[in-house]
Amino acid sequence: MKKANLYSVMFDVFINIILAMVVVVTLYPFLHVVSVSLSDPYAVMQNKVNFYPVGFNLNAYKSVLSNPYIWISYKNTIVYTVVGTAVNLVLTTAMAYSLSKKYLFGRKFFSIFTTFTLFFNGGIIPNYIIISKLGLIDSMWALILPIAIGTWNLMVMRNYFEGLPSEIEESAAIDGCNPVQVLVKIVLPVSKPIFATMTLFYAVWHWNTYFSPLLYLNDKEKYPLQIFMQQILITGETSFANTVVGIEDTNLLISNTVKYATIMVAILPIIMVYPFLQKYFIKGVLIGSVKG
Amino acid sequence: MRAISNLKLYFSNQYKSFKRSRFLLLIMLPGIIYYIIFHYVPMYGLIIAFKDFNIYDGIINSPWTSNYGFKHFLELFNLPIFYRILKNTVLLSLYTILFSFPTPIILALCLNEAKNKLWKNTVQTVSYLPHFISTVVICGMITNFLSLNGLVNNIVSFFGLERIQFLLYPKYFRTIFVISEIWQQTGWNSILYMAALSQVNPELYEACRIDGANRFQQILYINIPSIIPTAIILLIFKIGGIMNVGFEKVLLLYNPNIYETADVIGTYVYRRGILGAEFSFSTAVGLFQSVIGFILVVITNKIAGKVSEVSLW
Repeated sequence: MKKANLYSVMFDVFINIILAMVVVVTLYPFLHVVSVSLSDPYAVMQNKVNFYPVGFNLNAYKSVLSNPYIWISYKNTIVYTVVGTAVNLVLTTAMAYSLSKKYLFGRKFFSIFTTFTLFFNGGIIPNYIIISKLGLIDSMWALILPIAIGTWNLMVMRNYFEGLPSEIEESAAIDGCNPVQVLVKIVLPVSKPIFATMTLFYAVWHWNTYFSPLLYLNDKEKYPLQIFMQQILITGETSFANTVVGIEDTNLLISNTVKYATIMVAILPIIMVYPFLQKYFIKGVLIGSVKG
Repeated sequence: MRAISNLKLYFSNQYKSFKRSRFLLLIMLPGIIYYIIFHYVPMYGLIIAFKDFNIYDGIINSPWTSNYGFKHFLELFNLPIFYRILKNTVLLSLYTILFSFPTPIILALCLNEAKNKLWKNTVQTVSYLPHFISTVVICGMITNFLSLNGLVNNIVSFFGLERIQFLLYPKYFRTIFVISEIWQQTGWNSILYMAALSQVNPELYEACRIDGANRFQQILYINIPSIIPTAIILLIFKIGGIMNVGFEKVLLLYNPNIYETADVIGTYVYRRGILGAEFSFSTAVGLFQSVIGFILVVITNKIAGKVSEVSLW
């Protein structure tokens, strides 16, 4: 009996070491980014910054926030996300609701019609040609209309509506509610959880999207945050850091702390709200996994 | 006579069904239009792969190519680079699947054994976080961590080795890609396994304990079998998606020095198609990718259906 207990304790220790390692490995990169962003550029250059800020200062954040383009791109991203998510919710809800009804005319056809797009698509170039033919280049709608409905989300939502008891809707219809009233007064109020989930999925999608603005936007004033980030972080367009800081020799070092500060500015909103919203995401994933 | 009346009945039923769902059809109309314009018209647009597309003539009037329309495909198959991008695409996907497929399972199994609820929730919350960070930020972190003065090189030099510009050497690219993929997705991908594990009947553990099984054996004989259906479904999706390697991430990470291992079909299409404006040729490349991808989904789904009676449709 004692041996079994010892075994069980060892087992727990082992499991928890693995879990602790997962936490450390996940969080350490973020900790490092925070530390560098708050450090003295010289300390970073000398590789002294690993776990905590060395030569604490906020200069990097001051340079990031004094760049007009981060504000412009932030504003753009918020606009694209809000408008895009609103379009997503209206179109997805309407279509998912219709598809969830067994008596829908041509239901089978419409199911295949939508599901097929999960497995086959035109690809980059035909999409690009269509969007430029529609005159959407350099328009915010190029980022919103082509992803007006996420097929996977549509299926998740349809599953949710299918799971609602049909009696209430039927009795409301008998009581003389027209279909619009049934949808607005009966169905939507009980669908808050799925709306929360969909809003989050779509909003994160818009917030993080990078490739469509890269393809469809040329106007710097219209760039979303992700394009701005890409230019600062990866393309090494350090002229931004140079001009704001204005110290010729230390351009390179300062741009390092500025880059990390930029990362923080971009992910802070997500890190702040994410723990509170997490359970809705998980709900969404689980609803979606109940047979497509 | 009877046939006609049956036909009549059929049409009157159809008409009734149509009339009953008028409202539903009306509200889904914008959605239908969306699917036509942004999914089916581009699919129709794929025919430019068989044409010499130019903007003035448009999709319909551009002339068909030689070789019965297959000129661009023949050109593609004769390019040495084609075999490189195909190999890179498949290898990058396969390595990602191979190494990032087991990690969520291990995490879920461990999480399932954690007794303290608060601790368990903390680990979950933390491990899902990277999933919500955008590809650009992830790649920005990778690029900067791997730079000469970056985090990874600090660790490398701590062990007395020489600092390396990792992103300039082809041999490191796949490792970088796969590790970052594991870091970002392990937590999130464990959710479905956690759900499967929570469905296990507690009596099974009881029975197992009476039979004298220790906790490792319980995992082996109860937990692992209970997540296998989930694992198979997810594997089907992954293998079906082999041709769609996360090319945005490649696009953000690669540079001409490492095309040898990093250039994939998607990035090649982007360079030739968007940057080089060779619409027809790059559409042919993209179509090749889509068709292979589609065939893979169909095949893997058939196999899974035979093996375990789980399938996508």
